[in-house]
Amino acid sequence: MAFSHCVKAQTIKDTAFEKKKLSKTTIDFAFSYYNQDGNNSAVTGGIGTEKLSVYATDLTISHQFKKLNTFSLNAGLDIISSASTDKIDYRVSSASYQDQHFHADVNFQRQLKKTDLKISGSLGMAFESDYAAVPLSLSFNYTEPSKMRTYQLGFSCSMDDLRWGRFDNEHPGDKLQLVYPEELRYKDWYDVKKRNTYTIKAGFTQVLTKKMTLGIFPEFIYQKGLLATPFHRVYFNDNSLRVENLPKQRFKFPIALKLNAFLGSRFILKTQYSFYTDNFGIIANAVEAEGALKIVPQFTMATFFRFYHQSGSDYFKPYKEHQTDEEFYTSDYDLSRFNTYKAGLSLKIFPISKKQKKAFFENILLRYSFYYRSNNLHAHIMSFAFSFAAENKK
Amino acid sequence: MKFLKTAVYIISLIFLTASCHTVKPYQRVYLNDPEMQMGNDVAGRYEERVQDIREGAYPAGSATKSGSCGCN
Repeated sequence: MAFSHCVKAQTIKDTAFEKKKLSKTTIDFAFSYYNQDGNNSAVTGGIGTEKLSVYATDLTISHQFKKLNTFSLNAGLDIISSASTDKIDYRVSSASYQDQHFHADVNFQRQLKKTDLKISGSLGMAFESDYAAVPLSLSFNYTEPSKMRTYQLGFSCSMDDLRWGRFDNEHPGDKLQLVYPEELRYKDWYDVKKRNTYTIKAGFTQVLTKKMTLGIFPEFIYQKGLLATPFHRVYFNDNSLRVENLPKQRFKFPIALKLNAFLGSRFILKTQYSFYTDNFGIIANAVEAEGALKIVPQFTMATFFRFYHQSGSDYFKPYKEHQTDEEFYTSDYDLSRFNTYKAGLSLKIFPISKKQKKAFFENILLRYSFYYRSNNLHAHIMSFAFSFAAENKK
Repeated sequence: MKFLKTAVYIISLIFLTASCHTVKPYQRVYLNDPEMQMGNDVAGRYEERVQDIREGAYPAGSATKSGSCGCN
């Protein structure tokens, strides 16, 4: 009884003294550095350096207004230095050594007034020297009045063009075309130059107890068009050489189960199991666990580990092991049989006294991961991010 | 087939468990914690994108978007 009075008093207090939030603008910025090395590049037929560095930036500006609407703009630029794509031709440090990936999209989300249903749509674009994409999406997110369950459904589509030459300063005015390895440019290897990807995403979360939530996320993806990479070489067992060839359709079925739980009042355990299968013959399983400790309310430290196993694609064989009578062939080790291991550490700061300020940092994040693939590819990933918000209250 | 059976068992378990508990709004302090949300933070999402490129599988339940060939 005393407790219910306490809750009632709290509700009255909130209603009486809380300032009404009219709008909120949030700026999210992230910088990531990715450094990889390995010795199974698909550009050189499954042998050769995979040295790669990527400097990635990402900026999102979101504006929430009239409580129910959120408009956001997202843009990012990645600077890529790749030793393997440098081997498309035989000139060292030629134009194919450096690349840029630019992406931008706009998103609008509207929450319905009488029910907790959020509808959002987005339209974007992405460019690389050998790639242009126009992704669009529509999604629905419903939360039951009891807030015990949420349901998500999303549809997305991406129209991609794999022709090269958008940022080619050496040959301005040249028309866009697929770029094959230098010694294989005597003919057109593919009759399609584009691909479309259609995705249906679903999601369901269930509160199990006041400290535990479960989520299930099945998806279905259909790709059609050019699914091979034009500058990937394949060497056959008779020493002949061709460009990689893969089927023109791919069906993917991934599903993830996630369980998040507070153990005690300071330790959070996040676990995930994922399963994946597709018509290329890949079957994959992954388990992931993250333990986060709230040292003080404003500071969280987390460690995480992930193990992943995939069976190889039916179309993969290493350097000089393909037969010449095979219809589809690749020596891209991303499609081979392997295990991967990822481990790392993250630190999050939630600065205090935001209630007193109109503009404040919501969080600051530092994260490091080490990634190892059982064919000796290894990578370091470092990220720094912050979220800054400004509220207009009356 | 074995996987589908397991999935059906898990989903059934969710619904059975769901009918037992209702968490009141004032008991949601742990559930509302940012660390308890299902989605990844921006750094985690970047790593999901790396995994999507370096592995044959697509990560379900992620915010990974198309718009990169991942061919480097």
